[in-house]
Amino acid sequence: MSVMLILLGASLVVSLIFLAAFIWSVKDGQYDDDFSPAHQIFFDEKPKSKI
Amino acid sequence: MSTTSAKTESIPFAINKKLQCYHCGEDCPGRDLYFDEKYFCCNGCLSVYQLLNNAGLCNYYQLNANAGATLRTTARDDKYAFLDSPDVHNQLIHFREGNQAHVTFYIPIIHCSSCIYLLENFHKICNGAIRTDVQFLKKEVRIVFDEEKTSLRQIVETLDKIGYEPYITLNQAIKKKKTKPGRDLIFRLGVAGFCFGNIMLFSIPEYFSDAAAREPYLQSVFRYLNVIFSIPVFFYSAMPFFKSAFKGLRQRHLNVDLPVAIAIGATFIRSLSDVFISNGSGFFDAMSGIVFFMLAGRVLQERTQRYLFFDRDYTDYFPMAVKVLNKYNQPETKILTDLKTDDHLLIHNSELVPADSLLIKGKCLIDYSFVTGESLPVEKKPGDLIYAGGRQLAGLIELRVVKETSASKLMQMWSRNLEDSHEKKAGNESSFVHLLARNFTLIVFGIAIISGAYWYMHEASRIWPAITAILIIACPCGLLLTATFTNGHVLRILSKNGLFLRNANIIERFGNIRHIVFDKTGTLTSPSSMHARFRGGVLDDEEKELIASAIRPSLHSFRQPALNYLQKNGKYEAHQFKEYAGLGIEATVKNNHYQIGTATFFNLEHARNEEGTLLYVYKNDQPLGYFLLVQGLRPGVEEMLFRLGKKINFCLFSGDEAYQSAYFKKIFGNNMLFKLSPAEKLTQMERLQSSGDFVAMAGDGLNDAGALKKSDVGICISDDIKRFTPAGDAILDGQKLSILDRLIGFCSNSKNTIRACFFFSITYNITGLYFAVQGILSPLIAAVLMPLSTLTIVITTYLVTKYQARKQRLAL
Repeated sequence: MSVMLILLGASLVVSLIFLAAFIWSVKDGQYDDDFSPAHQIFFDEKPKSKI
Repeated sequence: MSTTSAKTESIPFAINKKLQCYHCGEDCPGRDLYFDEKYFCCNGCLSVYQLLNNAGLCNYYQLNANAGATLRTTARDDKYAFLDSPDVHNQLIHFREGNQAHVTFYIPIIHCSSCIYLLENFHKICNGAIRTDVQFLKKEVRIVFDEEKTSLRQIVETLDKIGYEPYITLNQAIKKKKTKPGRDLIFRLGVAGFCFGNIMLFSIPEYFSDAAAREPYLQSVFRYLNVIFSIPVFFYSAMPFFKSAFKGLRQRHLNVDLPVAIAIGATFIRSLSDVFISNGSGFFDAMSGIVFFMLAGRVLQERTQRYLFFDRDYTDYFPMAVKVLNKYNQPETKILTDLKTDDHLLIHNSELVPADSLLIKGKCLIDYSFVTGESLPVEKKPGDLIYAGGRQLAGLIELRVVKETSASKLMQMWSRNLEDSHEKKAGNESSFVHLLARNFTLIVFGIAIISGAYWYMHEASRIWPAITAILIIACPCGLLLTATFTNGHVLRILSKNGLFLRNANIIERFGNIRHIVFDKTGTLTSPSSMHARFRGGVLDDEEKELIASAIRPSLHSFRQPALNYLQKNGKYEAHQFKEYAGLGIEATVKNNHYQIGTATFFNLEHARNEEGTLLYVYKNDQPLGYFLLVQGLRPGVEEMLFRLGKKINFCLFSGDEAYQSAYFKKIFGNNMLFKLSPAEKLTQMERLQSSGDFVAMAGDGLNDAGALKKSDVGICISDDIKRFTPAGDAILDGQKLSILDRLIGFCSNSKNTIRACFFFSITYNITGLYFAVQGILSPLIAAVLMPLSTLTIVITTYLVTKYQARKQRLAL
């Protein structure tokens, strides 16, 4: 059962990474506008030649 | 493609099965504008379509049907000339790097995903624009552009051309600190959620397995982990509650966060003592659960705060810059705040007069409807004083400034009464929820003391577990979350129905309204509710057709009512059509010369008719008769007032003359007052409030600003997002005035909703208390009760509010 400790440690590290990612994304302003991203996926990008 | 049939005799013009413009959705007056298999209502819409088509942006129309704004009125060529001035550049451009400049605009017309699509692809239609970021909720656009390839003026002109005119006001010239979005709560919520989830996971072995017996050290590991994870929850995430409770205590005020703070504190201390002293497991999951759910409620409350401007002052109303004649008599741009007395201004048609000034020269017709409520424009002669805030309706005029903008007579009453708004806010504390929450604390302490005394006499070892357990369980989270979620749903539903409230406290005040005061011009009436009648002889069909043809190209607001009256489409072509803004029109139809205009247009005696505006019709220089334009109420409002009158008293305060008083008397009886100045409106409002009733005010103009602030609920009626409204507690879409009674009913029902859901959620508290008073509250029960009650609350409030909305037949 002592393997539990190793598992605990590993999972805690992973979850802390997620917490850091969350804090970064809020700081980056990704949660300021919750309407646009949902609709931006419908915008078509017509293939065009590069200028 | 619909086909217009020929049976138009008995169907009024507007109700004909008309073609809809592909761009903006308005009715097409004819079938002449046809391009790419689509119909358009005007050249403006057609040219935008062509522009988008050429740039490959027709996805704009696929995302939302008729997403565009009507472009019938095009801007004057030099409307944006002031943007060439380097002073203005400094005010608007907030960041520069090399050639690139950043500018942020507020574009109120942004309303759907098509808008986002088009604006993000703005660089495809404007050469020199590099990148555009849209902040949908705030309706702001940040444009990065190359200053060498394009200019600020070109960018704004392009934006205007596609229908996305930015609202550039004096407000941006005065550096106002932009409030950063409230991210602080989100961080705390994130941390609380993270720790809450982990603590719950670590508690599962404790509750559901025997591991403790086999591997005791593992049990300690989990317990210590719980302690570690609860530290950020207690010291970081829960801080807002402690701060608020402490602040309330210092002011000798039992506010709503105090019981929450007590619950969190008691749980933490009890849990620590359990783990380190009594070898127990602690209640860390319950504690972090409380913090998490309460924070979630707070975040939800903040999110429902609309990004609408409820607090305004004169800087939101006036344009940023005006044309001033310098000492060489050349026009140059000046920022409004730099305006000095004796400056000579040039004001164009449909522009605002920005400062109290004297008329020097030009044909001057001022529309004061927004400022004083007068529905008819006033003609001014050279030497007359013109007040700031009026709108010029007829051509170019030159003015000499008498007082600077901030000192102008009518603006002063606007910035006055700012302290009053704070007084109103203080009255919120007596709201029902706060009342209950305060009593909650006292009741909880009462129960705790009684139990403590009981156990002291019977089994002293149970005192500590019992008291702490009571404090844990008796968190008024149920009550607060019920209020938060219900209010959130109510605000959302109200927005969908055209009513936007400043914050959740207004809901209860809305429901308590006993008396409403209505303004007349622009509130009960609107330009669209004008009716026209013709007097002076019978017009045969052919004559009606000719007149309609002459009127059709006009942009004046009398066009639609007149066409409705004539019931003709105007199928002939109008040659040499000329419109004299605010005065009249002339055209030649089938070799007949028609002139239609006001008395001023024909240089006649200006007779003010009691009933409305007169527009004389001349054919080939012979008078035919006149159109009488009459203000009617907005559609549906008369019926609404009838329904409203059953529960709520109402009356009319108007700044206008007593026009059509017979018609209004039918509805209002003797509760009407006309020709009120803004100060008089305020005094009358105070008189009404003296009886102690809740008085609401519905108004739209500057002349209502004082009364709006003084009233218990100030409702601003708004027709056009682009147009400006004074400060108030709520903004109501003009077209939704006809359902005002249902909206008020919905708000008053929400109080019952909160009560019902609250009593339902109390059952959880009582269940928990059953265990708590006996001192046998286990962490599992505490941990389960909290999320369970929250879940019930969320579901119940949603369903009940939906039911209430359905009952009032509101849009969901």
